[in-house]
Amino acid sequence: MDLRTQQEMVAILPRLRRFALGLTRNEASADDLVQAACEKAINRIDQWEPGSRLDSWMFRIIQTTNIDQLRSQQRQDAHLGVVKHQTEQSFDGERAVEASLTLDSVRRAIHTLPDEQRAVVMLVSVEGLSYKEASNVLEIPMGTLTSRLVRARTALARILKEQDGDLTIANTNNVSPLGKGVRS
Amino acid sequence: MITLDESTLIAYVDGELDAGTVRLVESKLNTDQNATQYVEQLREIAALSRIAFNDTLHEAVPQALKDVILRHSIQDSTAPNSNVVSLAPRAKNDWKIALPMAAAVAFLFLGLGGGYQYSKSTTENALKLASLTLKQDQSAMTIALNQALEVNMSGDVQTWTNPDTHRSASFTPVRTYQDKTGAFCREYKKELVMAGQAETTFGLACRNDQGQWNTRYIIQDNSNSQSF
Repeated sequence: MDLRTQQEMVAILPRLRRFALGLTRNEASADDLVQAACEKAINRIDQWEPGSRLDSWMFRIIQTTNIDQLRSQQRQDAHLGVVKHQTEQSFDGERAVEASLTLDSVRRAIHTLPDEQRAVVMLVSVEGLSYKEASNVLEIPMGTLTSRLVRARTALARILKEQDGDLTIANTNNVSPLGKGVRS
Repeated sequence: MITLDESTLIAYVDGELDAGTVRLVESKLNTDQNATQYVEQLREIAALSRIAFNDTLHEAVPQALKDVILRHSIQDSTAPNSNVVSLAPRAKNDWKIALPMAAAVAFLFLGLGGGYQYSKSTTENALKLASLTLKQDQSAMTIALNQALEVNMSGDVQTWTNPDTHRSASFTPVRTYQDKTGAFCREYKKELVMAGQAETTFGLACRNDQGQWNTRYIIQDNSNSQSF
């Protein structure tokens, strides 16, 4: 691995963690997943084509590593006769501010989506990848990607509507006083 | 003719349609209130999804995770002898350059060490230089902090570096609110690297009418102080 690739890999760590958190819904497992993916990536760095997007390539490694881990976990769970489902709502947030409440409910809503839909939402909505890039990362055809996306978005719209009709962000937490002109 | 079905509208919101189709969709949206509402909802959900996962972007990456990558030695494929390009990100050489400066600064802080064997003029010059650069750096950092508090969104980092003195700092507004008098106050995180030592402090600053942010209190985070 050359210095530039190494530096870029460190620089995209926050985004890798974000994607992993979306997949695992749990910070500790997210970091474990990113660590495993980084080790894999370093070991097979010669498979990465310099000039192509390092982030997409690593998203793919995270995705496949996660699937492998889920499968082996499911085997273990099947052994016990129980298939664990959707350990959701791991964010124990302070319920103080309206904005964080709303963002919390968005996160929870995303957390309730099936794994494959959640991966699509994380890549397209959160990471801003194009459909083509996302379908490459997930190694699925475009048609599959778009139909998952439609299902995911429809479900999110429904869940959030049920929870609360009003989705406005109503505090100054994320707003610069001057940048957004909210000074009273 | 195009129909405004869900997948078309979703692709429209995601910017996945070509310009011609975008025009068709937009002209149809003008007359279709339900579809317009749906598009707005989709946009809102997309924006909220992005913000909802932003916390991870702004929190510090665990060092252990960085080390997974950094502990791998660099092999430069262009140079057969990798020793030539031993530019590990944490350049140990920084120590060598930073040490004399650290010594000079230590002098300044500890008072004059009379027992030292340096010639008087050399010591004085070093002290003068250190004092001057320290003052310059401090005022530059004050400006950078003011800038960060004035324009940065919470979580966005403002960095300042002086390569000559090897001092650097980053300022990150963390939270914004108004105090009883209506003045804007922001909590911020300051990470200072000086003489090879990293130091993290948290402060609260409030804005006066002239646009100056005055720090009201500072807390030092000792748990995180680490040397380079």
